[in-house]
Amino acid sequence: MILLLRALARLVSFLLLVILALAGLAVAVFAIGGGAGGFSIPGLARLAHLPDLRDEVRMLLTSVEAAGPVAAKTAAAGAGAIVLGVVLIVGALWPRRERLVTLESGDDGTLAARRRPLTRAADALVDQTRGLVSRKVRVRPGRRDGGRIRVRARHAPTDDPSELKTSTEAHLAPLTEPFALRTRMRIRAADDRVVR
Amino acid sequence: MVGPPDSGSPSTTRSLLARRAIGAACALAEIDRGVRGQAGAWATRDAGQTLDGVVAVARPDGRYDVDLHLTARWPFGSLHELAVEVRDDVLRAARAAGLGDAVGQVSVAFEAVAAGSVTEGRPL
Repeated sequence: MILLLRALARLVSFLLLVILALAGLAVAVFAIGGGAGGFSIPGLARLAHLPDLRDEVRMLLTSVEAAGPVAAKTAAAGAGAIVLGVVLIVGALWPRRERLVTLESGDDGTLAARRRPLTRAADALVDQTRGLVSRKVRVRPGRRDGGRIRVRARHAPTDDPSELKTSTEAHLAPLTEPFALRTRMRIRAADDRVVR
Repeated sequence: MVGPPDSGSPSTTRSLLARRAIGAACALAEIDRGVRGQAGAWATRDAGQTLDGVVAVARPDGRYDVDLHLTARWPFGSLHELAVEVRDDVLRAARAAGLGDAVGQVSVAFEAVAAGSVTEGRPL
């Protein structure tokens, strides 16, 4: 959801900047000409139908002043604009997920790692669990600190999934404890029984 | 890997410290190389060479904080122990070069992992 809002905020801000740049360019070009002819600022205003727009806005404001359907639609449009503005602000200002997982931070400096090395290490540790037929390991850094290791694995029907889960978590401990990572496991047997 | 410096180009305490730091880090078997980052933000010029994956930043007290951005070489054991080993080796190398008093904080970040000729991680 946040990714979508961020993409929307970027798209809208890009489009607004393009429109602003084109408008500025047009004003700059038309400002070269003087007087009130075609090649001048008043000429540009006529070209953009600004006098017509002014008249329409005047009529709209007169309609809004009186109670009626136009006033209700305008109020709804205003509320929609506020909601859109809030959505864009959230998309622009929501903190990004920290991609670097900090292991230790103090007077001596910071020790940290990105997802790939952590995923490699986590995968090797999960590999030590006997009885897992297949596995998929992902590391997801937290928004502020730490993060989460997500393990999806399959085991033979004869093995106890609870024991496998405990064993895997124990194997991951050298990684989860210093990096403040939480483990989320999903072990599926051949009959698709899921243990979380 | 860090090559020999060009004797005709100047070095400073900061760049010499950076050279010693990345040299000590890359001397470890579990470290593949330094990562220069997007736009080369994690690199230092020393003696006509660009040292990838190391930045030394001056502090108000006259010392330099060293930031290392490294690619680990698979297989490695504990990342924690490896990071501590890198930091200890950097401090040892700095002391051996007479730069022990110039070192401030040493930060280590593993940016990617290399397995054989393949490097996993974002292109940096």
